[in-house]
Amino acid sequence: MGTQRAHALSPVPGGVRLPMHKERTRDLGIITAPLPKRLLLPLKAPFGAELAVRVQAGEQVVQGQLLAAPTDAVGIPIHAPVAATVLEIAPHPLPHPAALHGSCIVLVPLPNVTTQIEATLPPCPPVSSKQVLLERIRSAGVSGMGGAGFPSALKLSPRHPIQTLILNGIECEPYITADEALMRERPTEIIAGAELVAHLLGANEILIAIEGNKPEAADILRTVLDTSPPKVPTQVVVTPTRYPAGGEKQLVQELTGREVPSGGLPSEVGVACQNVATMAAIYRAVCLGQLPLSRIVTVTGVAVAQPANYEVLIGTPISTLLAVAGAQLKDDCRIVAGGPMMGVSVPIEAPVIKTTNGVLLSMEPSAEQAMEPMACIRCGYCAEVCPATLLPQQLYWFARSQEHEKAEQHHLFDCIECGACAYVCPSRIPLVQYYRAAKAEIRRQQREKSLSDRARDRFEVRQQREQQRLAEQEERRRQRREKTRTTAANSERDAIVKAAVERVRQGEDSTDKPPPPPST
Amino acid sequence: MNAALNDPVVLAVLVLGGLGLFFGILLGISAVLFRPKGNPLVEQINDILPQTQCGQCGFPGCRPYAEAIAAGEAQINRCPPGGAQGITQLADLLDVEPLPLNAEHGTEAPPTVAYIREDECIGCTKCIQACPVDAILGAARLMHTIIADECTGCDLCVDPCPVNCIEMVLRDQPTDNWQWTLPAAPNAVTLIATDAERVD
Ligand code: SF4
Ligand code: SF4
Ligand code: SF4
Ligand code: SF4
Repeated sequence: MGTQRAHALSPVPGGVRLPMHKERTRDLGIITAPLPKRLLLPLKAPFGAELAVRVQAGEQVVQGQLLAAPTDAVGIPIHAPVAATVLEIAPHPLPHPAALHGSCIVLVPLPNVTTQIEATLPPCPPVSSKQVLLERIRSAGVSGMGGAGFPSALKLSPRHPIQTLILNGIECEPYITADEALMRERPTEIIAGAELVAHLLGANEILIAIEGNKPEAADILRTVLDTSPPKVPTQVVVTPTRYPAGGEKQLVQELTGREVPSGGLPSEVGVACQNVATMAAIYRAVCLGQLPLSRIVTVTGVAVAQPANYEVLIGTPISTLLAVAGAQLKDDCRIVAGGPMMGVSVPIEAPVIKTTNGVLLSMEPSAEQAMEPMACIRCGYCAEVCPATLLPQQLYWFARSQEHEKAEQHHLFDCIECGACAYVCPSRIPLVQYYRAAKAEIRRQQREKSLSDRARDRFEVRQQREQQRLAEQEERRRQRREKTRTTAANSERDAIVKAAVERVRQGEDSTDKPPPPPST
Repeated sequence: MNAALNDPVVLAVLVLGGLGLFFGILLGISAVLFRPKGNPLVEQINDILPQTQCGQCGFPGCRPYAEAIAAGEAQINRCPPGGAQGITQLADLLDVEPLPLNAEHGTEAPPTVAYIREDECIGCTKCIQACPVDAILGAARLMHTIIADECTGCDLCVDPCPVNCIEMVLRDQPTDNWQWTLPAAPNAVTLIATDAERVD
């Protein structure tokens, strides 16, 4: 470790100290959950167009079989997590805050098969071009496992040159220890994946960011780095424990001192952020040929008897997972997918998806629920803790009075919805919900605007075309009229000439008077 | 001559007059060169109108209605597709009081899209001629169909169809149309607490 100099950290604004409650699950390792009776695989991914389903009800599928293929560049393919029979393709509850239903492929796993993920892709050729590697990551359906679940292959083809790859092992949400467990149990996979990604991005430095409350994970990763140093200079950076240290822009600023521009991406300042779990998934897909068919989920909460980190097949219903963890379900419990700060309440029938890092079961109503919101007292605590240096109380007023333009001017879209402001607000105002509503409304209006702009363009083009058609018609009519007029005139003249000729002939016979000149 | 120029008053008048003339000419030229196209107010109003082009307002399309509003010949409450929100935006722009939607011109309705029952279509092309945004695809004596993404739901193709095979159906509201809503105003607090104390 003597080779590693301490990485200098830059100060970052805002942040709060939260009670972390991680002790119940952090030392327990990873437990493989038993095979569930059903698997629900939602067809509606957060990104991309509708997927094209490749199977029918009643069909038998093998592990890793492609069930639904993307129809555009952003879609993420769905593979069968285990050998199973397709029961149906029907609407089921999604892990969605409004408990919306969406089309899911429902699988009944075949008994007597292990839940072990086997290699389902042919091994990668030892020396592969970047194109081959990216294609493999894309076709394996690897997507971000920490944040919004963006397809990794796209995130790994940024438009700007990248110098620094940051591995996000911060996991600043209370209760959740899924990434910590992964870092402690499978550090080599993470580092091998990171090396691969650094190669893909052309990064010349890897920083593994770990929050100060996970010293074991940091030590384990450091030991691995010391025993088999990767080709790219890599170091573990321990950051102070502070919520939300894991926000992408905040992390970039803390580790590199570079500020990501408002509305921009870290790649614009030469940095790429990747979650540690995504690194392990990329390593497995590329080097072992294993698809990301499972993930690690922290199951915890007061009413959970065996809280732990479970390795769960994607599509496992949350109810099954809670039963495995010995949860006592009561009527008034609230199930949260994700952490307590940024997670959302979900219906119990909903499945685990690739981004579900935790399932929390809370019995008591949360503090916000227990206390009625009161008026804002302009204490300014919210502005002190905002990691994006926004003015949460101003945004709250604008969102409330639907002054969307002003909200945008106050950088509403830089809000990462971390909930720090709502956490410290003495009036218990559900600030984040206001921001989410305002953002959604602004996006809807923009969508409508673009639709109506399009309709206007089409209408105007059509009008122009009609006018042109009318003008052409008019022009043709005019030409035709002219033509008939000239032909009429011609025939008139012909008649006169004929008559004259006639008269001349007659005159030759009689010769008494000359013919009168033609009157034209 | 020189003496007159040396007189500071004459000099000042000449310099200032010259400057005035120069800038006057400059302004005149730029007024001609950079004259905004069309009537900017009409553009702004037209920007707010939903561009459904349905004619319910009594004008043949959104732009003519925008022109009528700009000229002060029509009230701002005649566009049902724009609804209350559109009226509020128009009222904001024109700095007038928002009016309720004039029911004579129709009522606000959820978005629809036209649908041609294709096996009944006789290929008469009448609907194509009616559609203001070229959202119908077809040719004489061949089946016609609606390009749903382009259809504004204006309803204008329904009547011309001689065999009545066009109907308006509700646009699907897929899951991605769900959005967060503002929290239900818990106790209708509109003032900050300290203000409330002062008011009491
Ligand atoms: S913390 Fe709450 S009460 Fe204080 S200023 Fe912010 S929104 Fe208002
Ligand atoms: S939720 Fe948004 S406004 Fe509130 S502290 Fe976080 S970033 Fe700032
Ligand atoms: S009623 Fe509204 S949408 Fe229809 S033509 Fe008039 S302005 Fe356009
Ligand atoms: S298809 Fe019919 S309803 Fe749709 S825009 Fe064209 S005319 Fe209007």
